[in-house]
Amino acid sequence: MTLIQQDKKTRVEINLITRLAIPIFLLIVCWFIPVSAKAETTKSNSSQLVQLKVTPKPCVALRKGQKCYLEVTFSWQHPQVSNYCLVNITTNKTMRCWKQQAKGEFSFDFQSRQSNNFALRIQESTTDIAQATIPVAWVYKSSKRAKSTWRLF
Amino acid sequence: MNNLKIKKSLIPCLNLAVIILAGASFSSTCFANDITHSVRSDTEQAGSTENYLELGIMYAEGSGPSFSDEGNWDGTLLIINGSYNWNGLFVENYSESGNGIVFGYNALNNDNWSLDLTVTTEWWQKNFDNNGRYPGINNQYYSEPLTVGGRLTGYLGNNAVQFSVNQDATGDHNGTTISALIGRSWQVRNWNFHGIVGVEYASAKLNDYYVGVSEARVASPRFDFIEGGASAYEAGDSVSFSTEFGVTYPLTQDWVFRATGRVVTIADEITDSPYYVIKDSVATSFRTSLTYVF
Repeated sequence: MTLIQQDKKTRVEINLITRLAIPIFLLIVCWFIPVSAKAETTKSNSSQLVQLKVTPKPCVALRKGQKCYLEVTFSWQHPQVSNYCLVNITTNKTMRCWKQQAKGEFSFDFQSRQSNNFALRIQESTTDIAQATIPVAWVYKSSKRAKSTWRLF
Repeated sequence: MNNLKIKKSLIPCLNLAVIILAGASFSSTCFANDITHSVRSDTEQAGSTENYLELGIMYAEGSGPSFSDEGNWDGTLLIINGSYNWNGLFVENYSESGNGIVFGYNALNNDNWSLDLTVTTEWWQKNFDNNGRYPGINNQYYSEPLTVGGRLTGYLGNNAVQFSVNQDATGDHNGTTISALIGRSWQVRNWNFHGIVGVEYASAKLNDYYVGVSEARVASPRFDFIEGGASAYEAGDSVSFSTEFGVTYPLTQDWVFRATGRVVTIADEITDSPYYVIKDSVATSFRTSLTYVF
């Protein structure tokens, strides 16, 4: 058997392995898929009528310590018309205020290295009416690219 | 023949489409799953070596010098990436790079520098198959020599430098490789780009073991394609240059997408061998993968 013939035989074997590899991989993947997706992303206070939602979340960066970027939208509603503010509790910064409103929406470009907590408050008040969190997660807990991935040869 | 070629090229594309489709359909449920995950512990030392394991699938295609009249190749394969460290001892595997399982001992480690002593039995063929230097080498023809080596890695900000030496320890060919590379990574929003340039020296003993042709072998029907017959060939040492550019993106806390392109020069000392039907001096490859990080 020549090397060329052997090469063709190897290719056929690789194709067979490939055909087996796909279903095995998908089977393993399915194993880690949750049976039911958890769709609830809202944190609110005890009253179901007061609501502060943020979508999407979480913000995922590749490595620990990296800044995470995510376009998020907050939406809120309250049974009473009043002056409300959305506050970033983590940074103690007021994101936006609404005058004489019972609901509102606000989008912004989230950028942070850590999880941030947000709250809806009556303007000039420090009491949280509803809270929401944008968790910052990462895939790899090392801040450095693994040594084994710095390879060319 | 044409039908066969069409079938061959469609299978990997189909596989890739299935994986992308599966990944897209699973992404929403996986995202929901992430919410139930606690955010990973923040107590690890920032620069510590990481224990991790990921399983995935990769599609790769490329072209370069070839032992057959087909210089293009492609394929889909399962990949296992990971490393486990225990008291300085470690085992690691990074399938995208093509080298096999590496066992080692971390002899030096500080914030900026790390020195590893390594042992592997899968260095040469996987490594060279991967970068296109000795394409299509079949494991049945060659044993896998035990290889010992050293790897010094330096982290200087977003840059990394790495010097490696590997030596056949079992005397199969007594070959040696010495390589140096400099890499840089940078982040654009949640996309993580990296670029690497490097150079590698391979000893004549190593090259000759794989692509040298002895007087006895020259009469083999293997070389019938050469008009007038092949001549014996003794390969010399070689220097190859390589560059890679890639991107990594975290789809979720558990799923990672990668795409990488690589160009490697192949020295004439290698492709002048009668084994090579296509004697291109450059090998190119493109790889894309989807992995699940445990």
